[in-house]
Amino acid sequence: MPTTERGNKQVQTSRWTSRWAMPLLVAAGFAIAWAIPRYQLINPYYELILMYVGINIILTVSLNLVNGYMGEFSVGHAGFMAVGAYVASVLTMRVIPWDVAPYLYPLALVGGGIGAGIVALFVAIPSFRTRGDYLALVTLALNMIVKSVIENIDAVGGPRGFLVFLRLTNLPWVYVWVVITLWAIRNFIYSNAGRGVLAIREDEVAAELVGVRTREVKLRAFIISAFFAGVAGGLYAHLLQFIHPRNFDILKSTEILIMVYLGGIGSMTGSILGASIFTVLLEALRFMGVWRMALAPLLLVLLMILRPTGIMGLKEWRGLVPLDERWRLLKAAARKGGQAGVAGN
Amino acid sequence: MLLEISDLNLRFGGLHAVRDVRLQVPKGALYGIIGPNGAGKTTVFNLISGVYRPDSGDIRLEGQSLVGLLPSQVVARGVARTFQNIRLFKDLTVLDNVRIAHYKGAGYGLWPAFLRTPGVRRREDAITEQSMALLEVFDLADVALEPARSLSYGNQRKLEMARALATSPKLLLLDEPAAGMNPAEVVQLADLIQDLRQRFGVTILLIEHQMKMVMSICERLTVLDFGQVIAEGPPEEIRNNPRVLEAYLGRGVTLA
Repeated sequence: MPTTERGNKQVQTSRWTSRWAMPLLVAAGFAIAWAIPRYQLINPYYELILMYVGINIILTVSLNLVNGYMGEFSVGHAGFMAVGAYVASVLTMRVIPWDVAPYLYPLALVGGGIGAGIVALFVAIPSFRTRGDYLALVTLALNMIVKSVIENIDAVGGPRGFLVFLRLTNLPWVYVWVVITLWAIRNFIYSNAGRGVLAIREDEVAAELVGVRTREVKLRAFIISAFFAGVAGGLYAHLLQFIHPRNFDILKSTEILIMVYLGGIGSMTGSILGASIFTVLLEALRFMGVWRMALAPLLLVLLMILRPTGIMGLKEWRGLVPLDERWRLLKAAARKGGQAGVAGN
Repeated sequence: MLLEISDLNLRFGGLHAVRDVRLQVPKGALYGIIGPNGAGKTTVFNLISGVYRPDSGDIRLEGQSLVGLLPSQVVARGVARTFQNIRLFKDLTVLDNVRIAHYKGAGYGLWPAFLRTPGVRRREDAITEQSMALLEVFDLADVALEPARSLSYGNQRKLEMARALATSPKLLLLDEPAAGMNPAEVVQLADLIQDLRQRFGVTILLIEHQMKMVMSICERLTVLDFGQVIAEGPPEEIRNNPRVLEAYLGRGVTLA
């Protein structure tokens, strides 16, 4: 079979090159992320924007898991971010001795993520009995509850805000966490549970009826999403150095939503693009003052009219698909025209 | 008996949708449920597969009750189904539609999935391999990477069956598999269904409107009308049962 042979050869060459392409790209990225602050390669202001881009990528990809891949509509992502920010900050400022904090910083971030994950668990169980609009309301309420709870905890400054004077977030850390987030969420999506997530978006009843334990899948997706929002919150807190409940209000959640839908639902490539474009655009339009805040909703409206699926819309750049899965699909494609089936047509 | 349903009842408010339904499907059978529109056939399927919970009565698969289980748990016990109005995962590929149905048998947890361990990759290889083999049985391997929505109507029906079989069921419930098919396609479908039973050793319970097909392939039938069993027996008996004729066609007619 000539087609299959050619297919196999193609598979082999692409396998060899692509096996090393991604690791090299990731390593090169890290080298750059490390070199920029070390040798002051770029203006610190641009470096700051790069870090915001990274944090926003984490937020966008994690929200995309629930809103894009799973097709739910969660609108309170900043609530989870807030939990992560405050938990991580309390850990570095009050729990871990300051001199070792820089070394234990990843643990503090993970702690923030776990905090957000626990909150997600408590929200998810009652709210997944409902769907669609109701989940939106529940997450909206959560966002507001988290904000008011923090405002009423005097130990973390309440409405006055919380000073996090350790500036532990730097470009290499942001980069590492972006890579971890993308890697973990990619592996989740292209696993058994991830297919369950897609099935829920397509038809939840049918998913359950072909054996997908939909409650379990939803819970997992929701918690994973919240965990990374929490990590992003921790990174954000240790970059901003002064956090305030108002940093995590509905407006922040809306920004994350815009980045998700700008980039495109169900696409990590889209989320990277959406977060980058939106973050840079918002900075570039600083000269407009308050008016730039009108831009975000306007952008969302235009987007929904002109391109409702976002920039990428369910499409993924090859490089973000696990290599073994790409190889598996090529093999499946090469398998065309196997033995005759039973239907006889 | 593979499936035993006893005195099943379900009410929707004032409507007694399923009334004292009894059904016994032996292992390996090709069993049909027929009845006019609104007789409660699909409701019985929804009760078996756990979509609805009965008000009273029992549903037993190999002696174990299915009542109160979640649909996914019913699938895990070995009951798979298709839908009257096709419910595929339309934006996903044909292959993924089938791979999703391997959910319960994937056999790896969340942490290995995150790390994408060699074990996970091997399981994914096996799942993909099995899914492709199944698609070949249905002549769908060529379109494995196409989105399910791009398939013809007949192929979508086949894909639904493939997806159901991917859960390796003991009992396959087919809800009006011939709906919307022309006579030639119905003949092919009848062959396919009989072949599936042989090939996969699965017991088949099907709901059908097309009397001709049901009569020709099913060994035994149960006739429902207004949620009640009005007749039960082999096709020849059903064909001449006056109550069945009355339910379907009104009084004073005979069925060709």
